[in-house]
Amino acid sequence: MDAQSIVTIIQEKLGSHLQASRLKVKNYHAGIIRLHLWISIDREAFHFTVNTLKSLGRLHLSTAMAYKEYEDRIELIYPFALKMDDAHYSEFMIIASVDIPHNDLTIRTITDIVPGALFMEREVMEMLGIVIEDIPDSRRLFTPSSLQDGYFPLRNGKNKEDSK
Amino acid sequence: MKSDIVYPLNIGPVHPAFKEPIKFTFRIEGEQVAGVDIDFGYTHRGIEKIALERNYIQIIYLLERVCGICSFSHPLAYCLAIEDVAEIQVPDRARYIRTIIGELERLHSHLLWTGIAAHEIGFDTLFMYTWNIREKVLDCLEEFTGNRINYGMLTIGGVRRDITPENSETITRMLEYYMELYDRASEILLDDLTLRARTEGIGILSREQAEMFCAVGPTARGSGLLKDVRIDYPVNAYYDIPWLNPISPRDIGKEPIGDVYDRMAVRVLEIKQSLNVIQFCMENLPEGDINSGEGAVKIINKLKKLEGEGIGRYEAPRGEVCHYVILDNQEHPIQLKVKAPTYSNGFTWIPMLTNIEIADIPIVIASIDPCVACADRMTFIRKDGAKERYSWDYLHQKSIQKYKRSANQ
Amino acid sequence: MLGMVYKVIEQIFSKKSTNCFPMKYIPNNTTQYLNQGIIHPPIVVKEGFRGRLEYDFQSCTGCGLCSKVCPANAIELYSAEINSKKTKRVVIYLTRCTFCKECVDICPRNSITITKSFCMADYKKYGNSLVVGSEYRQQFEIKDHADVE
Repeated sequence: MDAQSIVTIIQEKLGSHLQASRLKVKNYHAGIIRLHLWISIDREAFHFTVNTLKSLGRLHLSTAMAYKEYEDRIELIYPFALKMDDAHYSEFMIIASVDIPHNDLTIRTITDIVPGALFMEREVMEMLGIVIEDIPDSRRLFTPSSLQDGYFPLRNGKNKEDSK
Repeated sequence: MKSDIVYPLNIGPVHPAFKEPIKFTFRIEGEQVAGVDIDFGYTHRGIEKIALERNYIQIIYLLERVCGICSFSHPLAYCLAIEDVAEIQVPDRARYIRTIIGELERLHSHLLWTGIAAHEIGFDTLFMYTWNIREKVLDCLEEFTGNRINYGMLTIGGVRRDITPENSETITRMLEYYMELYDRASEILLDDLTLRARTEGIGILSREQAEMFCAVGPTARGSGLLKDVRIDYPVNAYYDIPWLNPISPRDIGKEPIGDVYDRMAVRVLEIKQSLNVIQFCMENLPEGDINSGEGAVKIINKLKKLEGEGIGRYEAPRGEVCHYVILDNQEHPIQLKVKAPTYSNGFTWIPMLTNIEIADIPIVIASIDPCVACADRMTFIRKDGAKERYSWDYLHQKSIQKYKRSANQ
Repeated sequence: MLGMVYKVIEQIFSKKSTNCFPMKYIPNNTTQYLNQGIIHPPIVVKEGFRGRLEYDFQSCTGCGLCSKVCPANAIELYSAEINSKKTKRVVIYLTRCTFCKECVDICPRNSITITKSFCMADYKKYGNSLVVGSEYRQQFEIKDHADVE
């Protein structure tokens, strides 16, 4: 399957929920390609997007969630690996990013679709202070339980000052 | 013991059965484990945060220290991520050398795991035997890279040291040594009745569960899930090898059920696969440069003017390693996310450990080849109980004071 | 029981089968002692082994590249005055060094070289034997008043 047809499938499936997308293809010899697709989605449609991706093939959440912090929002990045057929070298990365405004730091859990995301969501909760709604286990993962509430170690910027 | 008593059994954070600090709380009914809870975070060292204060070259050596055994996989995933952002081409010879060292690392990691597994079930003779034959690959790595672990071989855009003809002779001798031993070793590991009795049918992880919990590496392959980054996604020289296939217990004619025996079989078969990959790479090693020829300063200056996001994936001995970097016109990345295999596999402990006997706990825990130091990456320094943190300045002052005290003595 | 006592007495007066430690107690020229069996020869290390760093003070230009790439921040720059010219020189703290050889690769004048010596134990963490270039620092360092406070 070539790169463009994969992008077309994803664009069709997601429709208007897809805000922006960027494709990076690296060609190796013998028709082997490495495909990285960055997509950004609005928060309401994120759960639907993950569901759609899951229906396309074997979905694997690859990395712990990265983030970018701006003045008014946090951009949370979910790198997925999607494999749609059994051929070798056919896995490609879909890096989905969601904007979460500072005044409403919540997002719906994806553990009902990808149960393996639980550790990563727990880490996001304790490190960034983003509240994951309907998470089955909301305890801390890495930080000690005696750590002060409202202190989020990986948060840069002025929010940290507020919580001190 | 009366079977209707339910009691909690706490193992860890520090326990002789584990090599690293991790806490398990089991709910025991009679002799059976009814439930389990895992607590991470006792070796969290803040590597991701430290990396944001180092420049791009320094980070390579920092990431070697995420884990001692995967000390090639983590910096490689980081280098792949940076090469993805900066669109740096890696020369062919460097790709092959990276593959060879990666496979040598897999070889020694799997031999190490086999020893630990044998030790956990009380078969100490096998433990000493495998660790003894493991010395050969470590000697080979030492001659090749200068160190037994923490090789310092990688740089952005290639590798730092070349394979000389003497090195290739050593590798050939090492391959012969292992090829001779392999049949005997695999017979002990796969056909021995005691080992089979202790490993078959316990710690079962079904294929559906493995897929659901995003299991990676031999843990996923032992359950029959054909998931291998080397084959799913083009890295290094693996896509040049036509016969490379994901290992599954089906290769020895056994339908995978995902028990400890299957995971062991996958690792034993991967030892053979690694030997074949090294042999292929040595035979087909192309001539040419081993890196881009730019010094460290040039690389830093180039990356300083870049912005973007990159992702690097590699199949470490234990499973998929994935690094995500974000660059923003600075001398250091503004974000580095590290995902180690145990971080993904940790969740699979819960279905594996449920409904087994207490005596099987150590081998089931060891069966995913856990590396707690990889999964944990950060810690906090607090005064006990009090909600007070030391600031960076305070710690810095402390360290200067200590330095001055020792210097004056 | 008596056999054990004999063994202990024999051990006390027998020749030592270990080397002096830390290594600084071993004399510089060891060939004459080797024949007498006082010193055991060191283990041969593999080709490409990365050991103790050596620093050539004369050829160093003080560019500071080594301290920039050092992953452990083990290289410190200081101000020095050589031939009444103000310049910079470095010291290398071996206790922090990770022996990655990055400084050797980057040095434009080849002032830092790597040896195969691995015996570095000493009683003092910041003693002269573990800080490469400290003897030059004592001699040439100038205190820049702007730097101190």
